[in-house]
Amino acid sequence: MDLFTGAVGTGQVHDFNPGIRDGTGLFWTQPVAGDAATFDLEHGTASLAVEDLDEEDYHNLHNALVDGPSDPASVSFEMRWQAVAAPMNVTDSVHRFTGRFRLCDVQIEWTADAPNFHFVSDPASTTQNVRSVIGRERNGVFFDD
Amino acid sequence: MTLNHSHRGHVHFWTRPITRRTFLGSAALAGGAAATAGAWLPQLAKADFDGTATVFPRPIGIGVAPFGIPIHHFPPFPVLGPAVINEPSQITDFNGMVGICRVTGAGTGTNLSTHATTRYSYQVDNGFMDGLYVGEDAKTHHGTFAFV
Repeated sequence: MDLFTGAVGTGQVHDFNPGIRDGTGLFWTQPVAGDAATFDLEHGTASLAVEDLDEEDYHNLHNALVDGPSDPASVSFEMRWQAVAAPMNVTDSVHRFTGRFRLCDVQIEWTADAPNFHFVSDPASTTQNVRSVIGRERNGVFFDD
Repeated sequence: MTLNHSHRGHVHFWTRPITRRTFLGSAALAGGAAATAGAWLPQLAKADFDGTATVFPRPIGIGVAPFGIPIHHFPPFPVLGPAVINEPSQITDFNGMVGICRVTGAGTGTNLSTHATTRYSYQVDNGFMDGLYVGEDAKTHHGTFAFV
């Protein structure tokens, strides 16, 4: 979750993420409570809501990718996916994932806390969606099931 | 921007004491072989998995390489092909529900010392994965993960 003093991509000053897991390279992925996510693929809705999730503030993308200096931080957010297209079956044998997916619109409200800093996003209705997807997916050992 | 260089060599969130989140225990599936997971799904649908996973999943293969640094991730945009979407999941050996997004917007930051406020633009690439996965322990589990 990135903050910029200019337009997106210009003047990044905060980069909130959980870090890249040592040993495996698991990318910016952390466990959350089972009831944090809801989804209904046929109705084309999903949500993810967390409160006070532990993160690091790496301040910019490059510093995050090299696991450079960081500050302890936390984020809270509530986000909702709403399908804008019909379900589609997708199989990518190159990257070995398959499933049924829907393109979506997403709205989010979020806050972040870092040392001496607090951020509050504008209302969810102001979110600009670039590209969002929900779906049911199989990959890896489940790809051929 | 002021980086706290004294924090270098920091402890990642998953090795810190759990102060804000409640670990309710693993939803590990006893000895499950991945090949039989499909047969378990009806039973899983009735189970309660409100707990938090305690065994980490493994990442997908190498995706993109921003700044020439390979990472185990595909952004939702731009679409790289050959499929009409990029791999949404961050974890491999996974069978479940996923969500991914890229959104932008704006908000207000406050310096807590001076109470000065500043407007920022943001980009958020977030997502979730909820379902069966083969963990680092090579066993099959059920868990919910956020991509942040």
